[in-house]
Amino acid sequence: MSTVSKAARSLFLMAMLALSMVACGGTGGSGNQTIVIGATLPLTGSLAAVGVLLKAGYQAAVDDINAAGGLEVNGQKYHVNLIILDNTSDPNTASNQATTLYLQNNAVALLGPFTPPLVIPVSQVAERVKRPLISTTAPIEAWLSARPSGWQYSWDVFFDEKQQTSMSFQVANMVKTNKRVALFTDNEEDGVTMGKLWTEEAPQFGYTIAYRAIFPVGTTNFSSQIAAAKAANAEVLITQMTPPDAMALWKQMKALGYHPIVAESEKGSSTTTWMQALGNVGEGALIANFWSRSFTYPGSQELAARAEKAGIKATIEQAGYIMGYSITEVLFDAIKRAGSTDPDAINRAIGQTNKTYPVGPIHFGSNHADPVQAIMLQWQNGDTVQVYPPVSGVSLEAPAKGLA
Amino acid sequence: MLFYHLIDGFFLGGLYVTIALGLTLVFGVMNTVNLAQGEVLIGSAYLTYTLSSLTHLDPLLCLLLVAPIMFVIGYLVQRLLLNPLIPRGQETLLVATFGLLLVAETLFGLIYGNNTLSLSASYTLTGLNIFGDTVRTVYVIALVAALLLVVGTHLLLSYLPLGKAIRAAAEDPGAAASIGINVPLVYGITFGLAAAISAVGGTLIGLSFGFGPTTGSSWLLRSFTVIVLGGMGSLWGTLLGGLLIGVLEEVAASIVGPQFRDLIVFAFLVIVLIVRPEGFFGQRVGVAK
Repeated sequence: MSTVSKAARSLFLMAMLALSMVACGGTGGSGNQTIVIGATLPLTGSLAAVGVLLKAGYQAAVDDINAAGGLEVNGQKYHVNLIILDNTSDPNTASNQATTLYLQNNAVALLGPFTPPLVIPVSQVAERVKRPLISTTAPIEAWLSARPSGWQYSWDVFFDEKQQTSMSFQVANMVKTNKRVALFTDNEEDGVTMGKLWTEEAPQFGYTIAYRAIFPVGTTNFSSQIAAAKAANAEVLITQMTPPDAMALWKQMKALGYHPIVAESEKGSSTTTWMQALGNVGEGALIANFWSRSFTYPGSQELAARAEKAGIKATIEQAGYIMGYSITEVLFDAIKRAGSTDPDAINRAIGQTNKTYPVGPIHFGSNHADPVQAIMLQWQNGDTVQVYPPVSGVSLEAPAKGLA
Repeated sequence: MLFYHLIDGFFLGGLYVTIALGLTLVFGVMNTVNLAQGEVLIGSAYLTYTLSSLTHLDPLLCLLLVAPIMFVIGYLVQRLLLNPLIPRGQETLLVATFGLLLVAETLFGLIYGNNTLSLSASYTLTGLNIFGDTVRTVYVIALVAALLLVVGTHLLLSYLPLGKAIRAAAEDPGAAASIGINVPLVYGITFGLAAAISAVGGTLIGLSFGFGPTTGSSWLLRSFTVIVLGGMGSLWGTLLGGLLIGVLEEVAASIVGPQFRDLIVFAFLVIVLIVRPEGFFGQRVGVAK
């Protein structure tokens, strides 16, 4: 009787131990059925509009892999548990949450937030804990400049600012202007980097920076800068600023009668909020992106249709969803290739990525960045359409309709 | 060119007066800094946005309803939440208004989402020619509103029985109570008035710029700068402070660049506080007249 009781007790204890291991998630030893991945995203605050798109993309990819029975690692299927935390668009919170996700939730890897002010602090956490992070929408030069010694565990998929800034002038070349540019950039990392590149690139395309404004994020009144841009007779306007600031600028330009022929609003016009807040005034604004409806990469159009079904209707927002989905697939493929949940093995496998995903081909360089091809979109009739490289049936509208 | 920047700044300053006046009134009467002032402004903008979307009326016309609603909200907050905390001291009131700030920010996000919104009206996209300078029409409206609000509040405090009661409660609450003035009621009305006045500032923010759940904090900072410069709790000081900050911002931005605008404004504030710690008009609303 006592032998039976001892055996039953041992069995019970083993069962409890096994259950607790499963319940804790974790990085998984061979008996673990769950893999935890995490993301700290701006779901509230000034950057929330894009944060929710990435969240939807990440979640869709995780739902798909779980619906297919889980992520296969070394012959065993793992359920993927995606933990997403809201960093309220605050870099300090993002940094703390990344630490929590890695060390308390035991995430094998993180998917990134976006924009350098959030991606850089989270990348630094990844380097500290030595676990991988795949991010997007952090312009590569700005991201690389934050760690001159080079990133070891952080990866970035986005366009290279040099190609993007060159494209601004290539697009401006599509119409006749006096080649005088008003350049407005804020003092965030990408604003600083992009501002410098636009200034350097302009002469190579025969353009002159006739007026340059640098200002802190949160600036609301632009009267004096607009007056200066008008006085400088700048027919090309290029801006890199947060959505609230950009919207304030556009309204004031309209009110103060500044009518640039070409008007680019990087970052500011990246979601439908742009048109909701500005109405027709937002029409004609240009913005660089990495995906448009003319792209036919495998799964691309199907994902766009799914996004539309989920209420993500504008092309530029579907791009965020598709990018989120694609980098999650990059991570899944890397875990499969690694054949284990060991962070170093996954990290090495991410570096070997060389495949075409719904957003396009992804292949990281030795600097851990994948410079995707930038394209130029323009807000036309409430949606974004690709105007560069040119596609059939679409032409660049100039002067910028909303400011005319 | 400098003359044009002076004009631009002068009219922009009118907007700053409308956002700071509510803070002035509360401080002048109750000697309390309402840390939720930014949320009062943004809450008003949201309310105007809702009404304007539902009725398709002009946002400024919606103020006829938004201001009374904000008055009732302000009155209830003071009577039900802040009045009971007064005996516990200023620190408790500060913490309470900070709590209100956090609650309001969360509520805005839950109700309206986190995207930037903006109020639409034709005059937000037009300018007026003033001495050869193009000034946004909405800034001109803001300056007119600021002058009307300052003069109106001054007349109310100086000549109406309610104003006299407010001044008495501001000067010495104990003495005011001893002569039969219901001080908690007066405080409630004052907070309500401040919220109603802020409804004008909030709506003008919505018309002039964009707003979201977290934008209130930056407007609190701007309001605070205005009232500290003008003299904490002084109506005329708020008028002067607002106009001065507007002019200083514009001129600083044009001369040294917009990236140094805040640096110049706050450096000027520090200098004024060293030379004249009480601000330009260092007399509170209740004590002023």
